Amino acid sequence: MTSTTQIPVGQRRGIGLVRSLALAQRRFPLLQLVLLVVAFLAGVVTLPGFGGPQSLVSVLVIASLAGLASVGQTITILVGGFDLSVAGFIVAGALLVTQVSEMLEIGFWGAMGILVPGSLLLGGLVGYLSHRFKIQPLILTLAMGSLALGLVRGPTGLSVVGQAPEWLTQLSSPISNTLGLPVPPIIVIWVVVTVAMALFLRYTVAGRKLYLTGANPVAAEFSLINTRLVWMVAFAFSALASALAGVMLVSFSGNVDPNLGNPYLFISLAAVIVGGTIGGGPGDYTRTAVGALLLTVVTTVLVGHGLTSADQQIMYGAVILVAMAIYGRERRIRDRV
Amino acid sequence: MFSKQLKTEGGPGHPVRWIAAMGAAALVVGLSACGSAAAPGGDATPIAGLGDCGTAPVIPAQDDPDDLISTLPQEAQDAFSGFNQPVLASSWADALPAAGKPYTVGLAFLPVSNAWATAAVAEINADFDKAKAEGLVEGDLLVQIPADAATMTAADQIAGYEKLVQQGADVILMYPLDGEAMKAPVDAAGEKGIPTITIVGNVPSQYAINVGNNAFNYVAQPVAEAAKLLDGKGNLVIVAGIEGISITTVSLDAAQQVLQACPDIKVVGTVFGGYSNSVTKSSLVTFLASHPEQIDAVLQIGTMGAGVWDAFESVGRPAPVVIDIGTTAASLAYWKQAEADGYVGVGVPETAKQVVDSVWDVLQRVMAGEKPLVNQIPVVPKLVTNDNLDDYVVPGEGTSSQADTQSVGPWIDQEYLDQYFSSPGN
Repeated sequence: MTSTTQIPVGQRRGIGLVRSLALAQRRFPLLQLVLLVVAFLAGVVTLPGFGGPQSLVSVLVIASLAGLASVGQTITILVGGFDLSVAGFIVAGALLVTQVSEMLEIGFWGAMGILVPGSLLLGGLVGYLSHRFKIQPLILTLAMGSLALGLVRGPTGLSVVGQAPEWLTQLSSPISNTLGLPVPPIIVIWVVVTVAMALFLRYTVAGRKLYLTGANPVAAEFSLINTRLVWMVAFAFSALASALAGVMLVSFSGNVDPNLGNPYLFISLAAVIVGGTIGGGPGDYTRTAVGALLLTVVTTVLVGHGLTSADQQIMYGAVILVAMAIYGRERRIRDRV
Repeated sequence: MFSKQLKTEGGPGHPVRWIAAMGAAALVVGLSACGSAAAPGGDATPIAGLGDCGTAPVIPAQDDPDDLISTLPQEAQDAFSGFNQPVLASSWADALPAAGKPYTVGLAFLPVSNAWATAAVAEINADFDKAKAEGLVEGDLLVQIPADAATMTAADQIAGYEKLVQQGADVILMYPLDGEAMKAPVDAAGEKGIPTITIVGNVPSQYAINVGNNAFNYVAQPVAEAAKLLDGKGNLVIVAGIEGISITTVSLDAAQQVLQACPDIKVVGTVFGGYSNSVTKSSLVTFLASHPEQIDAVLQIGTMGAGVWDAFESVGRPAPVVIDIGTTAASLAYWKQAEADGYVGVGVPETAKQVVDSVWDVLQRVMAGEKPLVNQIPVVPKLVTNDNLDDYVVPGEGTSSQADTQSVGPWIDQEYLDQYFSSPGN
C-alpha cells in the first residue's frame, strides 16, 4: 500500500508562480529591473532632487558610458572567454582620435581609419591564439591591451595628454541634445547599440553560432560551426568595441590620461555579471545594459549618501563575488535539455 | 522529488538567491558607507588658537621635537604654521656632501603622465644643461622614471633610487611616491655623503632636504580667502587627488581645521580626481547627479581646476567659487571667461618651471656647502586673485589647454631661502 503526499492547492499555486518567475528571469532580467526600480525610488525618496531631469540625464550619460564599455565584454563572456584588454583599448582608442590624429595631421576620420582595422586585427589575433593554442584569454588579452596602448603611444612619446575636439565633447555632454530633443547623443547611441545587439544575438545565424560556440564548443564543431572563426570575430569585435568606447569616454572627459580606461575594466565585468550573463551563456547584451544601469543608479545613490571610492571598490568586488557564487551553480545551456 | 526538480531547474531558489545576493551586497556597502560617512579627512581635534572665519590661523608645527623652528627667523617660523612633517636638524648643517663640483646628478621621478610632470622633467633637463655649461655638474643626468603610473610601486622607486647610487650619483633629485618607504635608502645614501633633495614630496630623513608645500598653509590661506568671498556661508565640495596618500590626508585635515571656524560653510562631500581633469570631471558629474543642491564653492587640491569647471559646465549648473590650488592655463581661461560675468575667485599658482627652478637652486646651494639648517623648506603660497589674474593667464591658451600658467616670479624668493642656510651665498 502506498501513500501519496498531497500538496495543498494554495502552496501548489505559490510554487507555480515562483516557477513562472524563475522561467521569466531566465529569459529576461526581471529581478535586476525590480532592483533598479527599487534603487531609483530609494534615491528619489532619500536624496532631494535626485529624480529630477538634470540628475536623470547625468545618470543615463554615466550609465551609457559603462554600457558601451561593456559591449565587447558581453560577447567574449558569451563565447566562454574574458577580456582584460578593455582598459588598454579604451585609452588607445581615445589617444588615437585626439593626440595622435593631431600629431599625424590625419583628422578624426583618418584616426578612425587606423582604429577600426587596427583593433580588429589585434583582437582577432588574440582570439586566434587563444583558440588555436588553447591559451587562457585572460593572459592574452591582458598582454594585448598593453601592446595596443604601447603601439599608439609610440608617436606620442611618454606623455598621454590628448584633447578631444569640441564637436566630440557635445556627444556626451548632459546638456546637449539630439535632433532637438533634450537627450544627449550618447544615450541615443547606447539605445541603438542595445537594440542592434539584441537583434543580432537573437535573430541572426551569427548570433546563434556565437551562443552555440559558448555553450558547447565540441557540439558546435560537430554542427559544422567554425568555432575558431567565432572566437576570432568575438575578440576582434570586443577590441573594436572597447576602442570605440574610448572615443565616447574621451568625448565625455574632454581629454585623455593613462588611467581613463582603468575603472571601466571592472565596471564592464560587473555590468555583465550583475546583468545575469555567465560564461558560455545564457545571457545577452540587454542584460548587460540593465546591469550597467543598475550599477550606475546604485553607485550614484550611495555616493549621494557618502560612499567613498574605497567603498565603491568593495561594492563592485562584493557584487561580482556574490554573483559568481550564484552563477557558479547555475546550469549552463549545454546541461539543459 | 518535486522540490529536487525545482532546485535543479534553478526554481524557487533562484530569484530568492538573487535577492539575498543583492541584499548581501547592499549590506556590505551599507556597512562601508557607515564606516566612511565621516567628514572628509576624518574627525579633526579642534586646535587651540584657531582664528575667525576668513583668516588663516597660525598654529604650531605638529612635529618639531627639538624645537628647531624657533631658532629660525620669524618669517620662516610663520611658514611652518600647521606643518605636519617631522622637522629634523639637517645632517648637511655640519657635514659637507662627499662630492664637490663638478658633481653627478641623479633624478628619481614619478611616471610622466600629465602635463605638469612633462614640463617638470623638461625644466630639470634644462637646468642641468645650464649647470653643466657653468661647470657645476658633469656627465649626463642619470634618470630613473618608471613607465607606468598605474603599476608603479614604492618598491620600484626604491630600486630606481638605489640604482642611481650605484651609477655614481653625487646628489639625487627625487619626487617620492612614498616618503616613509624612501627613508631607509635615503639614509643609506646620506651616510655615503649623497644628499637627496625632494620635490613636493617628503622623506622624514635628516639626509634629505624636502622642498615643498606646507600642505596646511597651502590649503588654509586660499580657503580662508574663499570663506571671505562666500561671506562665511555656503556648500563646499572638496576635490582631492588620490585617496589615502599623505598629501591628500594632510590637505583634507587642513581644510577641515580652517573650516571649523566657519560653521555656516558645510562640506557636502569629497571627490577624488586622481590629479586628472578627465577623472575629476567623471567623478564630479557622478557626485552632482546625487547632489542637486546649490554648490557654492569647490576646493580642488592639485591642478584639477579645469576638470571642476568642465564638470559644472557640462551639466549646466552655475559655476561655484573654485578654490584653485595648482592653477593651470585651462583653469585660468575658465576663470577669465567667468570674470566678465562678475565671477570672483582665488587660486594658488605653481608652475612646473617655478618649482623645478627653486628646487634646483636648493640642490646647488646644498652641494656648494651653504649648509642647510633643517630638513624642511616649506614654501609660502602666493595667491592668484581677480586683481592679478591677468599676470597669470596665458595668452592664446583656452579652456582645453594642457599648458601651465605663466611663471610669475620664483616659487621661492632668494631672500626667503637664505634663511634656511647658515652660509648662504657661499
